[in-house]
Amino acid sequence: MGYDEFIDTIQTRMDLPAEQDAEVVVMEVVNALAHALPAPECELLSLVLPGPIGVRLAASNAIYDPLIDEHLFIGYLMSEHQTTGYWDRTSGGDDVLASTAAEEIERRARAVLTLIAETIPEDALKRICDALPVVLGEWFRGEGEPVV
Amino acid sequence: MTTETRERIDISPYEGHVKPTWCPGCGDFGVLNALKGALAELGIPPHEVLVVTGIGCGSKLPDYMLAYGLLTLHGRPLPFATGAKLANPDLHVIVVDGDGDAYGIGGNHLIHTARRNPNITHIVENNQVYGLTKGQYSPTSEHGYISMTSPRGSIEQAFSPTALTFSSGAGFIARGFAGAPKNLANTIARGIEFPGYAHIDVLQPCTTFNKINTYDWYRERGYEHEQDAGVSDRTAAWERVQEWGDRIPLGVLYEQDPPGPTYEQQMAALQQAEVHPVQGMAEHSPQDPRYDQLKRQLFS
Repeated sequence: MGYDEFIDTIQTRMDLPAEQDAEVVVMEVVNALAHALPAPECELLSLVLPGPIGVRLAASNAIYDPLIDEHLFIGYLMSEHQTTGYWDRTSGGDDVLASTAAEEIERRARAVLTLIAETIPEDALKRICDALPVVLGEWFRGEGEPVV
Repeated sequence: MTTETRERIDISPYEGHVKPTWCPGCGDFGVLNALKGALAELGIPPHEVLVVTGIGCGSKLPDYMLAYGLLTLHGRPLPFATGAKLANPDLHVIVVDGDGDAYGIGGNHLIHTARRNPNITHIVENNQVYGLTKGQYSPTSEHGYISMTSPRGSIEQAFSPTALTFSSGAGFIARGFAGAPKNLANTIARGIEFPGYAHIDVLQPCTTFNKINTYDWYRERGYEHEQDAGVSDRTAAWERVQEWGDRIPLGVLYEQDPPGPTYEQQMAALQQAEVHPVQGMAEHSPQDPRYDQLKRQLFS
């Protein structure tokens, strides 16, 4: 699958208003993934992903941490995403939309990871899933109960 | 992309049976994983660990891991932990609480525990906000921080907890980041190994109520300083414990070398001494038979 098709698919599946929105979602999920995936598997994935996405993963300055789990993965995504609305960066807890942000984050992460799983070879997918925390591996395969 | 490959750490011996109720993405998950990772690295079995907490989001931590747990009063886990350590010096006593509990309500206990030096490890989940009570500003919220209780911005200056414990006499002071749990686990492990009071301030995002100090905010500013470069030099450490802003040092900021006597050691010496080790105390003792009776009860 090429880059344009990948982005279009995400946009369609998630019902996002613009192509740029889909690009942001994909890049941020890939960026967060670099925290949870060991270097060899990260390199493997960067080689099988559509060009610019693979380059983004390879160029990520994220540092792999073996103790990062699905919760911290969500945390890294939440710190970047504008999900259910604009996050008012000055009003702290007054932002009621933030309470549902994590659900949206999980939905987006699952959408991107599932599509990645559909586009890469099965042996590469198995290696990547084995190297990840169990729950993130399930997200790749579209399995598991919602975390949020 | 990372260049480091490390095996995942088996933290399953410390897994609890209760599912955490923290918000999705909360930094508390990182602290929980790091604490389990530190204990796994050191090979300390769960039955030798007591986790003491106060009140707050992070203070629910003992529910979520396998170890002895003691949830105490708001701001009071340090005196509880000191008592537990005195009663059973073989126990690894670890206090986990938040910035509100440790630096606000329990601020006085923080000072006096640091100078008293019991052999306990104190992990403070510092998310710069009161999360459990829905986002009020805390002692470490930045000046101007807007919250429900400071709608026009906090007019109070944030204080430096590491500078406070340093000036109070703590022998081990460190800072970690909940978003980098492996490094935090190493720091906690060093704190557990240090024979004395170890203060570990943890930068921790609150994904619900603090939209400023996020994972990325901390990741952009935190840096691992050279730990071998005079970590026991008090002059250099004084600079490090105060550094905050665009660059925030992570890792062990100060480690006393050699460490001073612990509170438990001094108490034991006090009990065993034939002559009272505190000079002048005998002369000032009240001439009351009840005092002698009390001494016999306490020190026999």
